[in-house]
Amino acid sequence: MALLELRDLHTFFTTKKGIIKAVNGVSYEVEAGKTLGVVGESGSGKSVSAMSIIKLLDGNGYINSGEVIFDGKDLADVSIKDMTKIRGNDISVIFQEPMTSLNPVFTVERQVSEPFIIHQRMSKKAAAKKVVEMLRQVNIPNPEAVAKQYPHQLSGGMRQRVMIAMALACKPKLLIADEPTTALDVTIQAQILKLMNALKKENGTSILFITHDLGVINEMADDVAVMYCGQVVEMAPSRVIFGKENNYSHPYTEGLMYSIPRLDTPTGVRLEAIPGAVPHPLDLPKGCKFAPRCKYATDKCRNEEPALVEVEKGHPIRCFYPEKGVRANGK
Amino acid sequence: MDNKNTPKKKKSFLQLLFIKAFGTGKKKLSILEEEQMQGPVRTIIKNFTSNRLSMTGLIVFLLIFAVVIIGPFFVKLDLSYTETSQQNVNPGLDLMKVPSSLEGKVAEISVGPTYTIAVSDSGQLYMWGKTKITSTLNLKYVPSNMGKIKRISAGFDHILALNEEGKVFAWGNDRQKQCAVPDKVKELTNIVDVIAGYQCSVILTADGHTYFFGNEANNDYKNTHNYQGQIVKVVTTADAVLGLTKDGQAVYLGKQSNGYTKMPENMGTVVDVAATASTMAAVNSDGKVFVWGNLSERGEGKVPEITSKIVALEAGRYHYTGITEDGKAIAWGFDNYNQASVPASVKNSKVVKLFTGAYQNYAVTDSGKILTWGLKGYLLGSDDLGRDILNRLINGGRMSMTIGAIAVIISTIIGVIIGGVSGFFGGKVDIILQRIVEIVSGLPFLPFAMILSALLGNALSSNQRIYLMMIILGLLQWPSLSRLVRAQVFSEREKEFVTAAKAVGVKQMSIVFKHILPNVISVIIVTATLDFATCMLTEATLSYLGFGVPAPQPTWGNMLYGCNNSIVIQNYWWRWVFTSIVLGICVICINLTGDGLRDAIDPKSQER
Repeated sequence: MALLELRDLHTFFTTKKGIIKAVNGVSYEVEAGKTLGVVGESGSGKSVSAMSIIKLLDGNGYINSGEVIFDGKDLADVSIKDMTKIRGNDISVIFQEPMTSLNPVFTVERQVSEPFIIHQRMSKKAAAKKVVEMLRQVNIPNPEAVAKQYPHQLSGGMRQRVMIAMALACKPKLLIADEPTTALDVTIQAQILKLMNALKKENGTSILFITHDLGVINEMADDVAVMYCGQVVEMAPSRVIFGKENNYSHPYTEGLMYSIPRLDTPTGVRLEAIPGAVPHPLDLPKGCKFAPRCKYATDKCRNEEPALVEVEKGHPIRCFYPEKGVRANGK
Repeated sequence: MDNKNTPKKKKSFLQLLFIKAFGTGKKKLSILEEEQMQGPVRTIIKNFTSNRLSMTGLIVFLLIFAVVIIGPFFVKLDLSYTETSQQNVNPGLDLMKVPSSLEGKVAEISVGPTYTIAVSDSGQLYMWGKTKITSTLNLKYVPSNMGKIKRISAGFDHILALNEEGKVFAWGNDRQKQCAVPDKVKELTNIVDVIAGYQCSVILTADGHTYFFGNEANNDYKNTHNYQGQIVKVVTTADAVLGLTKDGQAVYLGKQSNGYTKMPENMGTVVDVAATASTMAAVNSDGKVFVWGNLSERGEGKVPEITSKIVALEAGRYHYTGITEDGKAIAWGFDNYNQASVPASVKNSKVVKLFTGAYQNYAVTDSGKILTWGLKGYLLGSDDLGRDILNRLINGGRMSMTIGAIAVIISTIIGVIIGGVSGFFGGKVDIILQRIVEIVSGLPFLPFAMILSALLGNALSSNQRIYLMMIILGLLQWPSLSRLVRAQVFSEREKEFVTAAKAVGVKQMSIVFKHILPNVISVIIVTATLDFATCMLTEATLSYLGFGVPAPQPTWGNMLYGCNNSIVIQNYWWRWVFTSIVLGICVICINLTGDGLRDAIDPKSQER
């Protein structure tokens, strides 16, 4: 049984201009001890779907319908008060901006000890000891000294490590990593990813990894969900998606793959970018949401909305023409 | 050890303090060196201490603060104390400044309320202290051609003098005709003593007759008393006359029957009499002292038990002194200015003559030295009820600061809670709370506070009115702070660390008050500091207008109450100048500190 299962989740935001359907019928699963990578452009609803799990939505956001089954319990119905007991304890979050995710006026010790004090009712002294232990676990050199420092005294990579230490403090079952490496440079990025993988193995934590970087997904994820305009357009094990012998894919996934520079691309060939931009959530196109940007789009695509259809076992795609060969010839 | 060769490495503590305070010892870093990373608090302190102006402000404020907080433990305030004889005394500590030329040749010293007059052996007149009674009346202007003075007497606001030829001179306040020597007295040739009292004068002749002139309504005196022809000494209280007959009997020279007439029985042979403002005393040939009259808690009746015999009595306004047969001075009675505490220097020497009056004592020793004790004067003058302004300034400062501080605490608590909740939750909560803020800040402050204290004030006791002041000030001061806090919380709550805190499972209220508030605390501290000054000023304004803290309890505001007429402003400048200066300096210093704090917390504000 999956640790986390989203079933037909709809998360909406009410604004003055109308209801924004940020997440419009998303379903995905995170297996225990596995990593699910969620990819997509900005505004595709990947962060919102993840934040819906622990109800960290902005004031005007709400779950309209759908279920969030976590450990056999539907979190969509849980009150905010009960949710605070789950946050940081069973489910933790690492944010994108390590620069601003730490409170500037508190020491590292004070912040990392918070989950211990809240969820495990530790005394401040005991928590302080635990903090040093956690900092050592995330490979921070000289943890005793760092614990007494303020966030502005740390580098970006260090701060993200502190964030990870804080998130893993109570050994959560699920870790939501919302673009944890986006703000870091590549070498630090690699270190952090390595660290997260190691900790995952060590603690048996499942990770919901949100990113727009397919390279990172390749390194981290067991399964991949590709999102576009608030919907999952393709889902597959990562070895299938990144595998060479893969016959099926969504044109959007294909576009994302083509936009990554590869070592084996011949010189002189330009990178192929997906034309256009993500449509405005209040002005979604009729039919397939990706149709206006899709180079294979037909009239059928523009008028009818495709359903998520399983083309192979464990590989659903939301497209009328999922087969790569068929698509290319049709053109 | 050879100190010359050791290099001077360590700085003295004072130097370090100076550097800390004025930041001149700033270490210059070379371009390759990096500035040491510091925590936010240290950075703020460092920034603040390097700002000389605000640091000076803080130090001055702390000094004033320390004086008004610690001062009242040493300078006790008696709320019910008033003293008519000490009204509007100029600032200065010269009430007992005996001229050095008088040393060794004192014939007589007579003490008035704020001045002292003395005669030397050669009949010359000396005067010191505050001789200015009103703007036009000054006792310094003595009549000319008095010749050699034999006896002298200082009254409440006039002086009597008797010269060698037996002629009486009187000058000073003549409103009750106490200086108008009657023709009958002028014709006398056998005058031996003159006694000046409160608005009255008494003349004593060698054949034991007394003559009285001045205010007869206030002083109980019967011209045809039964003892004419027997009197050898006369003393006066503030409203009665006591005589000593030649056969050793203390006699009351008035018409009425009152506290003074209830003399102790079996006094024996009285050798000396004396009188304070409201009591009389006599000492008999055995050296026993009897005190009667309108005895009060001031302690005139508490004669100390001593082994040796008292031979002579003297009296001040509320205390007695006496000389024993072996030349020791003793004193008892009211001791508010230490006038009844004989100093060690006097105790250790043989006293030949002792002169006491008002709050001063002069002891002439066998070596001719004049030793003094008692009230030296008022450093900052006295007010219209004879109270020491310095004393009230210190005690009033404590009250002013307490009111300011408590008002600020009340307003800060309300402002932070309302601003924090309003900013964090936003939406309807914010709309409702902001309307309340608008209503409160829309209230016209001064009229509202006046009406409130006028309405409630009369039904309340003095203490309750002080609490009322604190609450009124606190309840009307918070809107500006709450708006600032709200704006800050608005911007802080959108930051990622708030989401991060939520993700860790921190409860909403503790996010507002534990996570967001520390980020806003700088604004709160600065505003609270500046509000403290405002509260003190507002309290002063209200008290000055008579709507604040009621009268006997001093505050810096109500000390200025009643100083708003031209007479006080011109003639009694010390009654408003010192208070205003201290209040002004204090408020300016608080504001400097607040501004300095603001700059220290947000160094960018200086660049703007």
